[in-house]
Amino acid sequence: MAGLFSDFFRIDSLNHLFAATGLVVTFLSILSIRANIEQRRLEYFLTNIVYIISFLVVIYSRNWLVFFIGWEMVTVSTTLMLLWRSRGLAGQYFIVQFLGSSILLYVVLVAQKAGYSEIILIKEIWLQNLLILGLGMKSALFGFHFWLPPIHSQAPAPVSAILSGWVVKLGLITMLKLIPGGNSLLLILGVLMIFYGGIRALRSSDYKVLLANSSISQLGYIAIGIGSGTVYGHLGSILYIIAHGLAKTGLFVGSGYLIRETGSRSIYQFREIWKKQRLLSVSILAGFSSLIGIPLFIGYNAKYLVKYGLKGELFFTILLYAAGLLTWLYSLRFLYWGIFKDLLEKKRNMDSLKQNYSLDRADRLLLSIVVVLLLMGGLSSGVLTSLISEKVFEYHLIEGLMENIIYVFISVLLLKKAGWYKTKDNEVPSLDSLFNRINKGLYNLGRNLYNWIYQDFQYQLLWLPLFLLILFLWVNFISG
Amino acid sequence: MGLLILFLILIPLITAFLIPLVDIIFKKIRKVIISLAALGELLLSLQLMITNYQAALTGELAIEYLLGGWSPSLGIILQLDNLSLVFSLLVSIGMCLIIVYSIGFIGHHEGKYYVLLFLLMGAMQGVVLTGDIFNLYVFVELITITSAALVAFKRNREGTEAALKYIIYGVIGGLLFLIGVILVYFNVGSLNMTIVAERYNQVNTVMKATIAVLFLSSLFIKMGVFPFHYWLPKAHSACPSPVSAVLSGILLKVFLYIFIRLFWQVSGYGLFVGSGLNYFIIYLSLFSSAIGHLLALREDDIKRMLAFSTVGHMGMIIAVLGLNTPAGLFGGLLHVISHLLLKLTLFIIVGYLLQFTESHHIADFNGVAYRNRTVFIAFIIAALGMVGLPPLPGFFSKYYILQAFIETDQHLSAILLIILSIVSLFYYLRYIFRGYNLLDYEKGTKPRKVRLVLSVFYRERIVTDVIYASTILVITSGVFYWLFKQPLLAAVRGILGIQG
Repeated sequence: MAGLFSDFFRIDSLNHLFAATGLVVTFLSILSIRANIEQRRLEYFLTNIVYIISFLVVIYSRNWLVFFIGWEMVTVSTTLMLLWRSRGLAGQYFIVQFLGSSILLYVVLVAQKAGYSEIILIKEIWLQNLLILGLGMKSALFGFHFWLPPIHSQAPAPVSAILSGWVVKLGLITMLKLIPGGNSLLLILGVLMIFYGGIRALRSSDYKVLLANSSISQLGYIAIGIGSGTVYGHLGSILYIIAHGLAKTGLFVGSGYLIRETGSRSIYQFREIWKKQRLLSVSILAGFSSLIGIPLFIGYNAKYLVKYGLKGELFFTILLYAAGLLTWLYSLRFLYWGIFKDLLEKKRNMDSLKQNYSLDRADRLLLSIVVVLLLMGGLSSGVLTSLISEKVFEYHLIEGLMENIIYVFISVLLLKKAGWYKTKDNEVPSLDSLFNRINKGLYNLGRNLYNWIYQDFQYQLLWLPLFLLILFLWVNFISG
Repeated sequence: MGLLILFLILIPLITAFLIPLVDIIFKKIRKVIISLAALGELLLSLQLMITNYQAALTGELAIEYLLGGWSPSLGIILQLDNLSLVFSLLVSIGMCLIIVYSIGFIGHHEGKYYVLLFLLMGAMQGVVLTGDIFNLYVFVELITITSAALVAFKRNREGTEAALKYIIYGVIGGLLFLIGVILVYFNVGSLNMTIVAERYNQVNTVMKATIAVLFLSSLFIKMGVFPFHYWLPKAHSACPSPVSAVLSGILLKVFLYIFIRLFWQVSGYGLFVGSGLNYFIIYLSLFSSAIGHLLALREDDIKRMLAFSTVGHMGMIIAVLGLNTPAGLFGGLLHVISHLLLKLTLFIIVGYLLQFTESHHIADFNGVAYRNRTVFIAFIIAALGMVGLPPLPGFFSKYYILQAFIETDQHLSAILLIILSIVSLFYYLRYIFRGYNLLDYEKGTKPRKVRLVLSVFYRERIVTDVIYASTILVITSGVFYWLFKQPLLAAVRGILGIQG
């Protein structure tokens, strides 16, 4: 039995680390059920358990078939969770994910034919590229990212937390195991993702859309870390997966409370949050600090390692500095509109400080855990990296602080000049019209085909002599 | 042991002739007798499988029974090897479920219905077990006649039309088959499969090719491959749902068995490979698969949709068998099992759900899910299994089929099949969303009268129980798919003639 188990699963400290992070993320999202899931909490909880088992299978498996089964079970369980919002959303998510796993199925079979009967490091570049495309849909790599903002922003807050915090990472975790020496395709996709997601986040007015776009941007850093192919890059992306998982979970769960508090998703409608919800604001601040990479938070260490991994390449280093500025810009813009605007204004309206939603003990615990974990991860990154690699790093906190201060100056300057970049309230992105078009197109395709193939009965019967004739000619003359 | 094989055919035949007698004497015990017969058949198959399991694993299974004691060159021989064991077991399991389901479902003309159903079952077992080509032909004709009567069982315009079309195609197919049989006899001098296989090399090439073409066209007609698929959606949607399940789920697989038996074990597949016809078979059936899945997209009648999906899946199985590799045959046989179970489950569930709608049209499917939520969840499970979602059986067969295609470097075919599985997701989701769609009920503008289509639904409990049983069977056969691996691989070795 033990032999069978080790045939299918690989138990090592890296996988333990990922599994632990995934469990923490799921635990945090379950803690926030009260504010966001009103009905059928028991069923929701059971679905979460199925989800936990299946993502553990994905993380630990070494056999392609088992990996794929776990992968599809993650899809099914997260689809079931989306049912708590609407059936349409769940259907769209399922179709998108099924599309992704169909590509993955093909790629997995090709990899098996190429001689990789297990999930191990892959040498051939073409196969690596194919695998990146296969995993791309689930991880929302650039080109396959179209579904992420609509679905992550429409989902209930705990589900968004799971999807954005952990499910999209599963593909990247798999890439981490498959791609040893770097891959330029992944590097390019990563850079594109950072800027695409960052610019979209800068322009979003809806808080959850902003977070979803920022997810795309942050996933880009992980992709770059894997694509760089250096030891530092790899370690950096491992830390980044943990850091972004925790931070984004905290932010998405927080968005649930924020929306309950203000009754709106537009960041311009958030009023007096700092006064009303102190703990929530602190957790949001901590989350964004980790995303930006402020020293002492785990995000800083991760970002530092990813950057360090690319040190040799001047072009990418410059791009990464620009990306750091972009992250500051969209974070500061949100923090201004969402939390601090009323504090900074001179004339204040003090009469509406009543809380609409009061955090209970579980909520407070959850938010405090997020803050503590983000800080603890930052302070004990050495412990985390020592689990995987022997190397000891110096993170140069002071220089990082200086760098960030420069960023703050530049971004405050830019944002003030742009009037804190107030965009129009745009609609929540949705895949409805896309899927309507696809449905209609497929239906018409079937109808046209039907009109073409189905003729009167006598013509249908004419196929028979034709068929016999072709076959006789074939076997007697053509093939000789 | 040999006699047991005979009983696999005799039990349904005897029951078929017993039912009219029982109807005259005491009608009420009819359902007891048919359930006992179905159960007895199932137990007999299981008994054969359990006692011969070790022999089946090594591929040494060969049980024979000489009818009347005549030697093989003169008389008819019944034989059971790995392949026939698999198919015979599948027929028994499927028919047992269908017969129990019919007890709850069919409420009129039950006597005739069961006579036809049991004759069909006996004929299918006969096809699977016989070792004689002419005997095979007789059973094929028996299948055509009984199933045509079952297609017309509803006695409405639609059913009669479908049955006429079905019988025209069936008779043409049977005729081609008969000509093939005659040519085999004149050239070989015997119709016993083993003897024909031994002497087949002596036949000249043109004659071999002619025979192969005749059998191939006959079987393509019977299996509903592209230029001859016209009868299939009509016939499979016009009849009562349990009959659709038999036709779509079980009967087509029996013809698939003839396909494998004749072309691999009697004439040898090398014939096709030599003349390049194997590519013709592969690409025609892939095209047929694409046609089936794409036409299912536009189908507003759920039973026709399922029938078109059957065309799609049959094309996929024939294509993968045509690859003539161990992996291909294994994938094909695995898909035979999963498609049989899943399509059967889908048809019986749809039969239940359609009792609550005025017509088969998708517009009437609105809100059906709220009639019986558990049954609808079973529908979703079976549909997703068909699409190929683990751990349901459809996934594993899809996996091995794609593996077989990629192993032989047919990447485009594999990609086509993947696209078709996505297409099938679309047409199933269309009905699933309809099922949960409450629009017409919510609006209240058009109060819907829900009328039972036939006054037959008097044993609802049996119907739902069979649905649950088959859904559980589907799930377990998916989770424990690896149990089929050894016997099927042994069967594949037997087909390809590989030792060890």
